[in-house]
Amino acid sequence: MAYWDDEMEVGNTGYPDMFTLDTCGGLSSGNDTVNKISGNGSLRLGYPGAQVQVCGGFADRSFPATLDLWSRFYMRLSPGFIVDTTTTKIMLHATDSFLSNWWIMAFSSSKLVCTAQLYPPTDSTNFFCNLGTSAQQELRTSPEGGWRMVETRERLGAADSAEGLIEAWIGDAGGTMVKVMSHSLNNWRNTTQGSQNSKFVWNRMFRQSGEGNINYDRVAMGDARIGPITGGLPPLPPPPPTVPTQPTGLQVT
Amino acid sequence: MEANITWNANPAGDNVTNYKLYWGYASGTYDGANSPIDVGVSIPYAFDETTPSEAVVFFSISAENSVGESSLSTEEFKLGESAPPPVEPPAESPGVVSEPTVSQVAPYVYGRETV
Repeated sequence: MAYWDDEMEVGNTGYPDMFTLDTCGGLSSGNDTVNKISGNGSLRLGYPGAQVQVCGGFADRSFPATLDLWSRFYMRLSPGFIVDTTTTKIMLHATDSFLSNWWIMAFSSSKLVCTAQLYPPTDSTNFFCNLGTSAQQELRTSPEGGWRMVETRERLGAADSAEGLIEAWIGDAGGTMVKVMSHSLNNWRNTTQGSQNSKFVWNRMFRQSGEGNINYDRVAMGDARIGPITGGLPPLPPPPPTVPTQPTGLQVT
Repeated sequence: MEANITWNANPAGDNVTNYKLYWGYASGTYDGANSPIDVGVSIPYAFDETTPSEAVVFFSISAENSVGESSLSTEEFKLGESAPPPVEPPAESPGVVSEPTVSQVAPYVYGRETV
């Protein structure tokens, strides 16, 4: 069941202050009525390069506590978007304890990466679920400027069990979902570390690190697969224009 | 000279806005009057320019869109009413055998013949 499916519209998004995030660095965020999946527009977050690493911004939206969190959202990197040399953050799926799971792009690549924060802040360690292995589908489209649909699943499972699971899919140009991540975690809820009662309770969206714009639309959270909206992905933008091909078949009579 | 010029239309994805007809009196040199001629996107095109009756006229065509112009098509020509046929490249003359050059003489092999 989807807890909510946010149209990311000005005035009615469930994320407080999402359209008025810190505008440091000179590029503001706003409502994009041209690039959108549905409704009147999408959320456009502006990333003015390295400056935003120190000022950025984020906004949170909560949902009912769950051990099995599914998300579905659409995102679009503007043509030429530069992923930060460290991380360009997308979302943080947080529990009511120190456990959290970050969805990011990392090290100048537009592949989807998750980092599970497994340990208490006094011993904080991020675990890269898939770095350099399974994320074959880039969030950048070819030609650039197209939308991707992303789905994630994070199952905490019973405490001290081997039920932990992190999965992700990215929609290709034709709307087919490609599985880019499947990772099992032992003892994700861990009695020894005090996270045995953790449940996912909120989602954080970021504007931090990168250069260009990222659009988000139809951000949804639930406790079962949500799937695409009716109509699926909009088509990719047309390829850049080129001169015509050489005419053929010339005949003179 | 009057000539009927036809060619294959470019693919729709090329978004052609105009074809340009190049013409002239020597292969590869399209310096005829008004060349190149903007002929629009209608095919065929009726060429009608004053040319000497003995001339050989060479044609080529390109396509244009909002980005720029394509490369020229392969060339075709048309003879004027009193033009001589174009000169064909000389063929190899049969029947005359030239003397072998040094490299064509079989080398002499030294050594004993075997039985």
